[in-house]
Amino acid sequence: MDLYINGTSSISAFDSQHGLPLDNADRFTCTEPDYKSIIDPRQLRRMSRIMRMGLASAIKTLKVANVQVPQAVITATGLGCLEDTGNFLVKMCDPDNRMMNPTAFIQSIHNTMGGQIAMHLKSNCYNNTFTQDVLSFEHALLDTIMLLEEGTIESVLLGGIDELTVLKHELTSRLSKAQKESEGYYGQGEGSAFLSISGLMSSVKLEKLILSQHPNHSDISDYFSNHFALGEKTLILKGKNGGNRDEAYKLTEFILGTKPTIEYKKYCGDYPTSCAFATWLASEVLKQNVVFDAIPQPKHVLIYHAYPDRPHSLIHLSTC
Amino acid sequence: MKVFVAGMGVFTALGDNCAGNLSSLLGKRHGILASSRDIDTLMGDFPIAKIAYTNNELAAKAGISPSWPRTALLGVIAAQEAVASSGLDFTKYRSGFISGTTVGGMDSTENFFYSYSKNKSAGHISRIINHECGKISHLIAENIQATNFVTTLNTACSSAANAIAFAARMIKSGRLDIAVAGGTDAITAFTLNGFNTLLLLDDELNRPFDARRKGLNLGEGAGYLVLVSEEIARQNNCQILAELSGYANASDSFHQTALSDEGNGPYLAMECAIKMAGLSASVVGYINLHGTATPNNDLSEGNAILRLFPVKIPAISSTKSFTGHTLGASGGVEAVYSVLALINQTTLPNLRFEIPMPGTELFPETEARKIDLQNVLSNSFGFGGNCCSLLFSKV
Amino acid sequence: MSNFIVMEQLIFNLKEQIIERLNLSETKPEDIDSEAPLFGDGLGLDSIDALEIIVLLQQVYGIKITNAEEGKKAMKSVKTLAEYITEKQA
Repeated sequence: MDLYINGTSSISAFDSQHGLPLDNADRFTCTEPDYKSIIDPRQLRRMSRIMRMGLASAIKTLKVANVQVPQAVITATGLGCLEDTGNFLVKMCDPDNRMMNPTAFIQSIHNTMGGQIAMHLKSNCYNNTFTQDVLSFEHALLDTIMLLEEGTIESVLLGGIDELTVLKHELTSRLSKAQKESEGYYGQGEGSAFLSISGLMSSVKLEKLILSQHPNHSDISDYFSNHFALGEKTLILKGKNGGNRDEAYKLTEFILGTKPTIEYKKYCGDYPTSCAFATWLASEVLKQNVVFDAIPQPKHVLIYHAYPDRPHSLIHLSTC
Repeated sequence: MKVFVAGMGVFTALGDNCAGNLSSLLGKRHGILASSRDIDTLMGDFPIAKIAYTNNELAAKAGISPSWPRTALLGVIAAQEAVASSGLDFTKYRSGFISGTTVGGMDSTENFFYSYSKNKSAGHISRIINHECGKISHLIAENIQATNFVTTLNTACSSAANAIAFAARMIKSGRLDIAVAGGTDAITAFTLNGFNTLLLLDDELNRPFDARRKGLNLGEGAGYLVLVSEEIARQNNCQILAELSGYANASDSFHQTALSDEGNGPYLAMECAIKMAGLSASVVGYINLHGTATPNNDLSEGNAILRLFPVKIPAISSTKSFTGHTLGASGGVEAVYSVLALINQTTLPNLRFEIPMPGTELFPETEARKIDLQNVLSNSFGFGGNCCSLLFSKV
Repeated sequence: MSNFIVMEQLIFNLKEQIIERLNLSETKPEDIDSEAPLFGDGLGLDSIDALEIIVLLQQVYGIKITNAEEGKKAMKSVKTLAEYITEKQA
């Protein structure tokens, strides 16, 4: 079954007009829109940043895709609602000031965004939330593909969301030091990117998702080799973060070596569901809303993630 | 393609395996014996269904490192039982681990925060490395060698049920041969205080579906099924405990923490699960209720049942009257209980029920009763309106 | 201090606490009419806000609302809330 991306929206640290990251410090924080024009201010009052980012980009995606109500809502988040979780935790662990509030607890759970989107749409449809570290978004995409292939529904709203909080930044930095993260690490990031996916033809086609379990990831290498044999203009978006973990990319270096490549985490920072941002970026590049000098009009974008001790992932998008 | 249950494992305050849990259920011995003060000394006194083992004891029992968060320790013990009971060699097949959890490594994170809140440079930072829900699944999957696909779902209290449904779809689509699916959650100070601020905890033993119910008791545990395709079952001459004949996910889409009075999400989840199996509601013999004993859940679920079964109400009961609410694990624990009910052709009791909810005339089973069972429905509903029902059929 | 002043102070404190708890960031204490309904038409609060106020009463004033009907009556307006607190603390 052929699947297409009918609409996307993203909130990130990337300035699409200038093709630059907005922040060169060691953290990438999102440029957020004026939410009042997107979300009812009465709802907004209680929402943390991750909820605002998630709901706003979900609403915009559906608008762009011209979908009133999708038939499934699938969200991915690696770390969930950190602001509310941290807020509740810090108060709870302070014996002199235990002013925990119910809202923080309610909104600490990972499916908060999925539930909010369903309520906003007044929809009783399929709703699921995946949280598998750096592969959360890929797994949500897999669920999307499976649902559409099963043929009971026709459109899915899919999104990946993670937030960077002051507490997360502090603790992760401490952890990186403890684990001796190398120099060159691009920095922590955050973002929300949503996609509307269906069988309805559009200019961006979802060609392939590979989750590779092979010890030498030969299925991904083979896919690259076969694809490049076709000789078409291809951009590779790599999930390198500049740090130690990039070792894992060495396996495929011999094939990818000289191909036009963008290390996209230079634009959005490192966070578990950054692959959602990459998919949004790929779609923008194929529609020529974003142009990289390395390859001005690619016909294909391959998004590649390699992790130590985890499956590697490949997402292939194309335009006709 | 059919998907079968070829093994299972469960660990709750009732016992550390299927046999122990069943014996407590049939013998009407509940496990809500500890107090919230055992977890958080500053909290009020609320009954909880805590597993009596310490983390060190659990680690020794499972043969693994005591540095694992409690959620992973509970999960791995139930998963090991499930794998062993299936008798399958996981390394020969594409085998996956699909798990639901809501707190992940929170107990270990809390430990860090108790020090950190006093002094920002204090605390062992390594305690937070397994905080993420996904890390729990990764640890367990490696231990049971089900590593061809590992993922985690967090849809609050329906997490494990959604994990089971997703695992079945992975098998049906030919992406996996075997999947261990269910969920795990430990009791933490975070969840205890959270539910306390929501005023959802009962300071006495819970009373699911009773007119005088006041709220829930928290519990902890894990429950996993081994799901296999028809072909794998045939090749290996597997024991087949049941068929997972239907499942459905629906949103109630009403409120962040409450279900609609009429139970739209619960109704849709149950109705679609039965439809998927190509059956009619009248063939459902027993429903293992979500039955948290909060005023809102039980009324909503009750109303949905009354609408879906206008002629004859099946036998119903909430085993949370034994185990407390095990949150993200409950769908896994109760899937195991549903299959146990089916195999043993018995209903499971609902403790402390006396008076039906006004206007509902719903009478849960108060005794384990021998009954001819062909199909058992297991309900799980969560915050955010995430509802999921699973249907198990006799093979 | 006269009872009146004590009451006025309590009402002012409550308004500030409610604004902070419920993230009514664009509202000032003087914008809230002490006698206007908190829920529905007035401030437009909902059930999660009600929960926040109940927890606020517990944590700040040590008052536990156990009876739903009593809670509803107490939380009609900021004034009824202040009266309820005064009565319970007496």
